Amino acid sequence: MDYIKLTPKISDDWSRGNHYVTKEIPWAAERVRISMNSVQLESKLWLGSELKKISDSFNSVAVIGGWYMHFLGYILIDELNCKLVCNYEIDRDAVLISKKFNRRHNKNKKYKSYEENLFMADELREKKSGEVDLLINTSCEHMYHMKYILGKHFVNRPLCVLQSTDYEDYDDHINCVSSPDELADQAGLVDLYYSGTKVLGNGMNRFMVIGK
Amino acid sequence: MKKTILCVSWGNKYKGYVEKLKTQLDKHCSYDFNFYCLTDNPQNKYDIKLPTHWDKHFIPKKNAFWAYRKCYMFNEDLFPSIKGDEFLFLDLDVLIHNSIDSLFELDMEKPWIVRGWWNNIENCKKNFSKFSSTPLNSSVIRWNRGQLRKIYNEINQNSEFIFFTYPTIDNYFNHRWYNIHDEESGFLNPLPKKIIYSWYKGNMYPDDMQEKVLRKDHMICLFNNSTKDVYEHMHEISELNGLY
Repeated sequence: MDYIKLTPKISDDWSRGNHYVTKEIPWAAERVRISMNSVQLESKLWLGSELKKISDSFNSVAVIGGWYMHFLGYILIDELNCKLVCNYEIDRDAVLISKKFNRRHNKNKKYKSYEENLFMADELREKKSGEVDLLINTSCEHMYHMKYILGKHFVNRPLCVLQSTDYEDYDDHINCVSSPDELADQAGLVDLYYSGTKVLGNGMNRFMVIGK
Repeated sequence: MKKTILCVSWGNKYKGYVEKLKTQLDKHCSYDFNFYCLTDNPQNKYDIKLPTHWDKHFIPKKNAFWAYRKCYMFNEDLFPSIKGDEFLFLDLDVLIHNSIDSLFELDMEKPWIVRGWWNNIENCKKNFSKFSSTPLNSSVIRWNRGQLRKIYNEINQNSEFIFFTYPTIDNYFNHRWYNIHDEESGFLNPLPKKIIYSWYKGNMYPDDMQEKVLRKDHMICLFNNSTKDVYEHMHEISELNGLY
């Protein structure tokens, strides 16, 4: 997966998303711009490419801290045909904005987003679709070990796709790891289908593991 | 019944501050009150030993959630010798320069905390998920017995996660117990404007942001200076001489 096919529908959603931010949530404009930069796209395309090699049929996807979900929503639903993607975000603004960027999927109930901290929540909000078979977290450096969430909410462990970094210079990178192995270990992954490192365009290391 | 006023002290950084605080309270609170200091080193008759059961979660290297000891007081059952039902907590490094009686006359449907009105709320919203720029400040908290037990319970049940994640208790309160998008609807009520201000950050964004100004018609001055490189001993600030 090397690029995004920018169809008129996607263009329309993303244009509306940006308009919504400018008009309603202007303080998020800079963050939205950053979320659309080249390294963000690189990381998500990498995820799409490697995940597609393992499976391209997922029923219910839980995304932890998916942020604005423009690229990832496209990859999971438009490219990988996931039937339902549910983004659990702590930031109310991100929840609202991500729904705009995924308007086409939100309308047909393929995309949902909840303001929820799964480290604290007693249960998953989205249960109707049955068991989650894919869990994605592309921002593990921003939060505590994934083992904690997996143990609390996912008794039948789904396939997990996790990304993180060893770049510690940002204050909100509270949980950097030194290798893909450490990332897998933090989640307690036993069966690894993929483990790799990518040096992104900005020179930062990005780690990704896929496994159960 | 007498009011209950608390402070929390640990380590040596604030040596002498407890007595200074008590002197200010005697001057500026006309209600009868019992004064207690929760401390790691009880010496005086008002001192009560702090529990230590959260110490094991503290991560010195990260210095995260460093003021966690304040949160023990939210479970009053841990301190059977503390009397009263109407609680007021004050940080040690505050300057009280007018009557605090009105803090005991608030509608207590919900507990109250300092809303740093000097913060640009849009900046707080922008940085919400980055755990920075909280609009709250836990230097002054007003609650009735039992009202904050939910917070104690949540910390106690999720200590490992909370201590790892939140850089300060104010960030934790902001994320879990406040509604930054609808400030009247959160679990914690924001204390009103024009009573508490900050020596180093100002009073109200954007119109009254001058630093290092004594606002004589206000009640309490805070000395939060997270963005300053140099620590200044508040008792040595010349403009404030004689106010303690």
